[in-house]
Amino acid sequence: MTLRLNLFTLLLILFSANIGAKELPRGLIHLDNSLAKNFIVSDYDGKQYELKSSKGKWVFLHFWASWCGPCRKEMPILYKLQKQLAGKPIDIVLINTAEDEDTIFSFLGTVAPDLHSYMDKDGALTEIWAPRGLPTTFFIDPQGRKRFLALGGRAWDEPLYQDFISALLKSK
Amino acid sequence: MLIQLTVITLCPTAVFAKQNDRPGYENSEFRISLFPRTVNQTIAFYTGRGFPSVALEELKPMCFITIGVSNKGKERVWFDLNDWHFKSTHGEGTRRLRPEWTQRWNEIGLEKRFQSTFRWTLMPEKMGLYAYEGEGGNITLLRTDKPITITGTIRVGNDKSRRFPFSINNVLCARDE
Repeated sequence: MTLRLNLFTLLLILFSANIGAKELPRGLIHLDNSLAKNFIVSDYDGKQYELKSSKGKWVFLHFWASWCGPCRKEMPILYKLQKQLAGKPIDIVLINTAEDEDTIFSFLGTVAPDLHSYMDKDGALTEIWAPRGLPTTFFIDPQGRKRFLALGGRAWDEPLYQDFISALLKSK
Repeated sequence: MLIQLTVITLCPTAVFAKQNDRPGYENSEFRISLFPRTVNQTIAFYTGRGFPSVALEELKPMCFITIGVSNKGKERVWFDLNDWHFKSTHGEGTRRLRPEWTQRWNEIGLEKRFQSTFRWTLMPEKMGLYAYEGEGGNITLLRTDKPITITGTIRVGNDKSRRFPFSINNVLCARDE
């Protein structure tokens, strides 16, 4: 049993290493594979999300704010991505940095009405994750390790990024 | 105006090409652009984010300059604001640093969410930009009507071994008409 588990782990690492070895699309960088610390956030309806609930799936963890120009531009693309990846082994988790319900609600209403976001009400979670700026996306692998970071807003609907995400999903 | 301000703050590369008459510095490795903000621009931005009037009053004596640093190549580009100097004819300009802002915000009891937003609009103190990455944010100086000269050093390369001193002259705090 232990041997089987180890073999499974080894295979996972090999698959993961394969993504890591490939050249990343522009604006994505490798992270240090450290374990992501668990957190809980809520949306404006009080619905909670806990990072560890995504274990076994990739997590597309995206920090944003309404005052950030590139965030505004990226939102419709994120909405398309959220629809496209529904049911796939990846959770798209948007976290607004330090804004109130009204601001988030009215902002999303104008740029992507059906896009769902959680709230980091006082900005403390964003401080812990320390994105390089807003927006920033972290990719967390199914084992809960921080694998990649997307610098700023990205055109996720372009083939380069679509291929990257497809490769992630195949790698498990 | 608010959208323009935010775009400049967080996506400096989008603005560089349009406003070549802005103060700045550019070589083959990186680009530095400066966008001095008037008091009205600054107050409008933070009012739009819901900042209370007591906090807005703190901003009025300050000269906000949005800085954009952009990496034009594949090697990493490093900046550290501690290496930058802001001098006017009166001597060294007084830059208000993050800890001072935090202290002041705590003294007036500014909500954490506003403090967080404010911090995110400041220029990071130091950073190593990846290939083609741009970063932007505000630096805050005590407002002066004298021209300011900004000098500093940018380092390039994974080992930061290549040093590029720069100087940007005659930067003025923007004034409302």
